[in-house]
Amino acid sequence: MFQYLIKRLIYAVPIALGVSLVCFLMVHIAPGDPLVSVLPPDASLDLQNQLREAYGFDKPLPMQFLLWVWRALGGDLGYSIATGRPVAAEVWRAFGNTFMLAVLAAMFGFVVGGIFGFVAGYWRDTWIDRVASGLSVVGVSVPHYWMGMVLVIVFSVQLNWLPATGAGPGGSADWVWDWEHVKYLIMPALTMSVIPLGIVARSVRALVADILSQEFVDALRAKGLTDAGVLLHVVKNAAPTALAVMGLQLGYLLGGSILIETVFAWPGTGFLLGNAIFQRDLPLLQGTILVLAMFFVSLNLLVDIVQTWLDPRIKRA
Amino acid sequence: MRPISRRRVLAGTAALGASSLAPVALAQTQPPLRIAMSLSDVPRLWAGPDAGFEGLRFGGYMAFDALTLWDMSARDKASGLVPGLAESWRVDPADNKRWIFTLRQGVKFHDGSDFDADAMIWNLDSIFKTDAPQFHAPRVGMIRSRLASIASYEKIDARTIAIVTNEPNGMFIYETSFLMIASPARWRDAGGDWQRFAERPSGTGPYRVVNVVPRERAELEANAAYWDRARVPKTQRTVLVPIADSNARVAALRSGQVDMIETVPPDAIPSLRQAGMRVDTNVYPHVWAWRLNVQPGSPFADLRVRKAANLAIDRDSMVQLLGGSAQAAQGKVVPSSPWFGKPSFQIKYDVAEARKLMTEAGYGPNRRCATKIVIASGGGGQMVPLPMNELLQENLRQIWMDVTYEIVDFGTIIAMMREGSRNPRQQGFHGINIAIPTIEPTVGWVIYDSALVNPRGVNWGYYNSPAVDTALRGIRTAFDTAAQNAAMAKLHEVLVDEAAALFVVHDLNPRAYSARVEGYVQAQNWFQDYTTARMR
Repeated sequence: MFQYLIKRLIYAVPIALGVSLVCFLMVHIAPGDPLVSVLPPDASLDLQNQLREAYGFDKPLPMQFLLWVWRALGGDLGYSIATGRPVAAEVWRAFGNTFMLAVLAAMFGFVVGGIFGFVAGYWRDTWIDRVASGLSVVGVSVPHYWMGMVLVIVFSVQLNWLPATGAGPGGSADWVWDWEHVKYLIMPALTMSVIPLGIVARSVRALVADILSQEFVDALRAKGLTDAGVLLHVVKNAAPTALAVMGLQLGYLLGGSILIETVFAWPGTGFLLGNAIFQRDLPLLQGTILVLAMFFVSLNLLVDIVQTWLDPRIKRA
Repeated sequence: MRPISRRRVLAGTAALGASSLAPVALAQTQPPLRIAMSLSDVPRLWAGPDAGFEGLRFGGYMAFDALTLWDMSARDKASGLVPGLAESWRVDPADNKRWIFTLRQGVKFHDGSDFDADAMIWNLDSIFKTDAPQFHAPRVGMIRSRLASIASYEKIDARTIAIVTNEPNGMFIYETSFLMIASPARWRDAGGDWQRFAERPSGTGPYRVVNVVPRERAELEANAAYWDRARVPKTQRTVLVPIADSNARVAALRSGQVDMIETVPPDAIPSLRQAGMRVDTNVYPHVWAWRLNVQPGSPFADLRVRKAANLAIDRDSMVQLLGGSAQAAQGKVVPSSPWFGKPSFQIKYDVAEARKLMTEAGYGPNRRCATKIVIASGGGGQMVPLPMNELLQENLRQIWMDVTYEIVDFGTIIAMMREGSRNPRQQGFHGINIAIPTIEPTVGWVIYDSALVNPRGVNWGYYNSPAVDTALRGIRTAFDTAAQNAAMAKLHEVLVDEAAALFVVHDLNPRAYSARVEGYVQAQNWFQDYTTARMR
């Protein structure tokens, strides 16, 4: 197991470097001026050049990349052009907010999606299956930002039950886990959970249906196992694949959603990325993408390890 | 005389205590005024804010003052400049490049330190003296472009300074309205770090900043000691919330999360009014226009085509499309402006006349005029560019003009504007759709100066007209208000007569607020005064 872990960690290094290079090139290839947010439209060329030099954009691209990677290795992701704040601090704060949102969305989406999938798979081709599958298809198909707006219209504008935007009465800096704050989290988390709910439900349904059609299930029943006992075996067999799907979904959720976080003005990583894109804030964009990509790589690594622990055949493969 | 009992002393003390606490209690119970900005972040509060004019509106004039300020007290007249931290000013009779400012006495920064000539020079050094410790290049970017005329400055005495311009410039006074003054003492307290200063800023403005949560909110408190007693805020606490998404802003207002929102989307206006919200509009110095490429080879090099395009636009339909939140343009400024003048070319909807001009220019049903215009998908002052440009496309088809669009984001269009239309990657573009601010005589007016093409300026279309250049020189040599207005009117007349741009509408800048907000006056300005607003 230890050797496997080391091997997977070594694999992660070229992936990290590749991700760094790709995200650096992508933000530099995109058109637009990175100084657009700190210079008025009619700024003179002299002033533009002065600032370009101050931010290091006058250096050749390979040099800029190497400097950026070198600093990033030391934990310094530079400073946001638009706000002047350290990128690492900005990303960390936003990541904390997205983490809360993602975990709540994951809890809801995975539990409900898992139940829907299991029920649909166990009673496949019945009306229960059709209802559960229909709901999960709706979850995957409905544009989540649209659903967010509908939720806002119903629960904020019409019923006035939940706040429409923001991260607490005093902002996310004063966050505490009480109703006054948690109510800000409900609608964005619900909206965010819809896609993973649908995906998990469909995956679990297919898995359960497939496992139930295998001969070993007949053998279990022939041995006189109760339905509950058979279910336990089905769950155990479905768990590694379901876990992989959930791990990927959790990774997507932790990446934040530009659309949902913009609709709800939730100050997470998606919101941060959206701002960075519109302001051409290259250091912030690079830093955020890098941190999220690294997190995704780490999460995949973790899922692989847990999967191997659950099903040692994976390691042998 | 009755003996004073211990009970009476205690009762008296309690009453005294209660009365002294009363204003505090009142202030604490008074609900705050919560304003949703259309920005995606709280503007940097370092006396040189970013985020364009909206950033200056909230991050500038609320916490800081400039030498001159905008009079935003009336909604029915164009707002002009009034004394700010400069009580008065005059041009040196011996040298018309030297402006002498008498500074206001007794003004204190929010931190209690004094505003004086030393503080003023310290602030100027922070922008122009590159080796000064308070010089910080990222901060200077947004400020120095607005102070292009300053060549040097000096302290004369504790309450007088002089600023020398690089050439005689009667309109220099407008530049001083962009020079926000920060407290040197607070900057030193912040360890000489402007970033830290912005987290706990100190100016002399009507509001003091008490808390900033990046990207989420800024909390301001009325500066009860503000030097202009008429502008001490009526609301004790004001909260600024950045909500970039227009639908989210509307939802926040309708659900009672905020009390006032900026930049209301036109299609939300009827529903907001139906929900009992007030939607206020007013004209302000803005024109939504196409800047035209007038180089040889472009159809807009021909005056007749420029005039025809201006006559082919059905502006009433455009206003209807915008839910009444715009005013049909007859030039760069509204006719009630003292700068409008008396142009001989009347901008109106006259397709017959437009077709006649196009025919004279050699176009017709069998020889159509193909044009390609760069437009942005959104951005500050751009209103709703996609449907607006679709309407223009339909209108211009009537005069045999086929318009195709290159849609880019706002950041890209700004970069393209700086590059100029001669840039190789902009070959074949005949116009660029960027809203033009006309608030003062430089911003939005010098874009037609033939000398200010890339890299010296942002004359994107290489506009080159001796009459315009002469009129521009005229505004620089006008030193009193009457002469300035006359010079500006002359410039405006020339620009309209030459159909220098495709003038479409003036935004009326709709703001919506709950019925609990009272006393707010929407001035004819990019900037606004929220000090008169109070919560019911």
